[in-house]
Amino acid sequence: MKPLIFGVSLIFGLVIQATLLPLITVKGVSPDLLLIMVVSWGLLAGKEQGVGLGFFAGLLQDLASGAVFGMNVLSKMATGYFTGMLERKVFKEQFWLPIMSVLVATIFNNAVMMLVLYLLGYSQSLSEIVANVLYPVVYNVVLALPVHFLVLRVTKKWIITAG
Amino acid sequence: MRFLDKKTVVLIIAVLTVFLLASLAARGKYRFDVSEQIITVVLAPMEYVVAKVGYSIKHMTTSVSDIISVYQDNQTLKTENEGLRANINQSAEIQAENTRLRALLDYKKTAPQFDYVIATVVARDPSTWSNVIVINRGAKDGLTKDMPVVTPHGLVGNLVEVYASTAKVQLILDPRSAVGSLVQRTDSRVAAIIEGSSARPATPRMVNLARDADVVKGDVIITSGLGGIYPKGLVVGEVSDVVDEAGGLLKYAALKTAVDFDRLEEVMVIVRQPPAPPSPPTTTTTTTTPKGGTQPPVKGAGK
Repeated sequence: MKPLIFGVSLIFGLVIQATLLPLITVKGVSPDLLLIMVVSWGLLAGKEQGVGLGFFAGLLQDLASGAVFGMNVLSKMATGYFTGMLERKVFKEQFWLPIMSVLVATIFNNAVMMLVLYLLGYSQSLSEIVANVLYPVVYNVVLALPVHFLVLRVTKKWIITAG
Repeated sequence: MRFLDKKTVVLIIAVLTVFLLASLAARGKYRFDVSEQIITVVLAPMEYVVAKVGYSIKHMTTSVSDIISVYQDNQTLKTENEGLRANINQSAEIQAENTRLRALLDYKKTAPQFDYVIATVVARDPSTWSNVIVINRGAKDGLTKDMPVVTPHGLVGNLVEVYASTAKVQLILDPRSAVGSLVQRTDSRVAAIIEGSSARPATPRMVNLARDADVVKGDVIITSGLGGIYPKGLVVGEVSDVVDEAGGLLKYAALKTAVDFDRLEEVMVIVRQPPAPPSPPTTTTTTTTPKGGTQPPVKGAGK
C-alpha cells in the first residue's frame, strides 16, 4: 500500500505540474508543486521519505521536462533531506509551518540548483542567480498551505500509520 | 553508534551517481534517450487529458470575462478595421508592384505556403534553465527533429526530441536556444542571435549587438533564415528595451515575444518549407543591377 500511495502522489504531482500550473504562469515563473510536496512530505513523514520523494520527483522531472539533468534530482534530494530532519521538531498542524518552511526551502532548493548548474559548467550572471533563487518564492508560498494540508491528510492516512 | 549506517551509504552513493551522470550529460557524453522517451511517452496520455480539462476550464472563465469587455473591444476593433482597410488597399498595390519587380528580376516564384501539422501542448515545465513543452504529435505525423514550431502570431521554437506520437519543443525562451534573427525595418536589417534569458524567462534577448547597431525600441524582429532550422521571415517579437552591456562594447535588445508563452495551447509544426529562394544576385556578377540596388546594405553586428 505504502509504495502505491507514494507512486500515485508522485505521478499526480508530476502531471499537475506539467499541465495545469503552466496555465497560471506569470512572466515565465510558475510554482514548483513537486518542491512543495517534497517539503511537506519531509516535514510530515521524515527524512527517508523526504529524500525518497525528492529523488524520484526530481529524477522524473529532469527526464520528463528536458531540463538539464541533475539539477532537480540533487536539489530536491537535499531539500527533502533537510526538511525531513526537522520532522520530530515541528508541530505538524501548525498554520505557519508550511508557509515558513516552503519560503526557506524554495530559496535553499533554488540555491542548490544554481550551485549544481554552476558545477556542471553552466555560467550565469549574479543577477540571473538572484532572480532565479528569489522569484519563485512568492508563488510557492501561496500554494504551500493547500498542498501541505493535502499531504498531511495523505501521509496521516496511509504513510505514517501503515508503517 | 555506527559512523556510517547502511542508509547513509546508499544516500551518498545515490548522490555521487546522479552527479556523475549529470556531469557526463552536461558534457554531451551521455544522453538519457531511452529513459526520457519512456517517461515522456507514458506521461503524455495522462497529461493530454488533464491539459484538455485545464484548457476548457480556462476557456470558460475567459469567455465570461470577455462578455464584460465586449463593447469596448467592439469600438476599438471598428477603428482598427478602418485602418486595416486602408492598409489592404495599399498592400494590394505593393503586391502588384512586387509581382512586376519579381518578373523583372526573373526571380523564380517559390511556394508561398508552408505545410503545417497542428498540435496540442500537453505538458510544460517552465523551470529555471529550461523551457521545453511536450506536444501530442510525433514521428507518426511526419515530424522530425529540428522542425520549426510556430503559432499564427510568431515563432515558438523547434523540435528537439521526436517520439512516435509525442515530441518535445524547445522554446525560444530556453537559455540553450539560439535563433538567427534580423531587424525587420528596411533601413536597419541588423542581424544577431536571439537567446533565452534565465534571469527573465519571459523576455529573450538579441545579444552581441554592437553599441552603435541600429536597433531601437519598437523594432520588429524576424528570423533571418541563417542556421538552417528556421525559415526566414517568421516574427519573433518586438524590441522592448535596449540595454548596454557592462564592459563597454556590446549591447543587447530585450524582446517582447510575439507569442504569448504564458498562454500556449496549440502550436503548428512546419513540416515542409518552400525551397530556399535562389541567392540574390551579387553585384560583382550581375551586369544589370537595377538603379538604387535591390537591397539596403546589411550592417553586421560586428561593425
